[in-house]
Amino acid sequence: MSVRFLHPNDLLDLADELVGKNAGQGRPKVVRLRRGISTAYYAVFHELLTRVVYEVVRPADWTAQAAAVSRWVTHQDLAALSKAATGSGNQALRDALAPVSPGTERIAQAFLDLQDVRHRADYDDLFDVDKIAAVGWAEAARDAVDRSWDLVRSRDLSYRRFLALGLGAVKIAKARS
Amino acid sequence: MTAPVDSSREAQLLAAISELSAGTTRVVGAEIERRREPDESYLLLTVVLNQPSGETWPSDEFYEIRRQARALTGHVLGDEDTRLSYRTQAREEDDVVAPIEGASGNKNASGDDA
Repeated sequence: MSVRFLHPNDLLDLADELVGKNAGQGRPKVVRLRRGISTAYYAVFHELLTRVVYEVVRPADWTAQAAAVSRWVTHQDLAALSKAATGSGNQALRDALAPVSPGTERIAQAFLDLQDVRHRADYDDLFDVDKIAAVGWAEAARDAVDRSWDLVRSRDLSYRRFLALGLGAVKIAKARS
Repeated sequence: MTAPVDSSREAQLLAAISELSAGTTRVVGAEIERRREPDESYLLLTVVLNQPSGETWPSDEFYEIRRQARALTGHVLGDEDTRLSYRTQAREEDDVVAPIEGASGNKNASGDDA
């Protein structure tokens, strides 16, 4: 069975479409805004888990093995790492990540913010979503994915530490703190 | 389920959040409420931003506001599970639902075209 990679940029394009970016005045249906926000979050999530696997396992290509390992990267672990990268949360993780580059901090901040709003978009019937914010989240996700590419290309050491700790390190740090 | 929050820490946080700005983007309001779900309880902080001149807030300014808001929240509330949300002031044209292919014109419970 061939592996069909879910590309973060495709998710970003879908998020733009759903939130009505560059579509003029008026707002899309609420369901589109909410699914657009959720899709923007998943674009960043997939970007991060892909980078974690390439950093740690170093597959030559996105194989079934790489896809299987990517399932080990969890939303909770990336949130804990992102909290540490933005200066809060588990002290052992903060020590392991230091120093954190501005680019890594910005990606981590986007992940945390998008995860918060994604929970509202997916589960909160009281979510007062508006198009301006939804487009803002789509742009924040694209900004994070673009910066991820830039940091990978420049072999940013802070970002490499962040990615390397994305596979299992959070559980170890919490167990030993 | 939501519940009002009334403590000096939350009041301090709301006052500090309300002062935030970055370039042309500024906070015009903030609200905080306690959310109780079957398996968790957390604070929901909603930050209200001014209307942008474009389609949304400038990316760098939105980031800076979010960065400051999260840092302030951690500083004031510590490890309290707090989630942040952002919205803008209501604007009349935002209530006009854009025509979407396949829309029937019927209204559903959310006020959207069905």
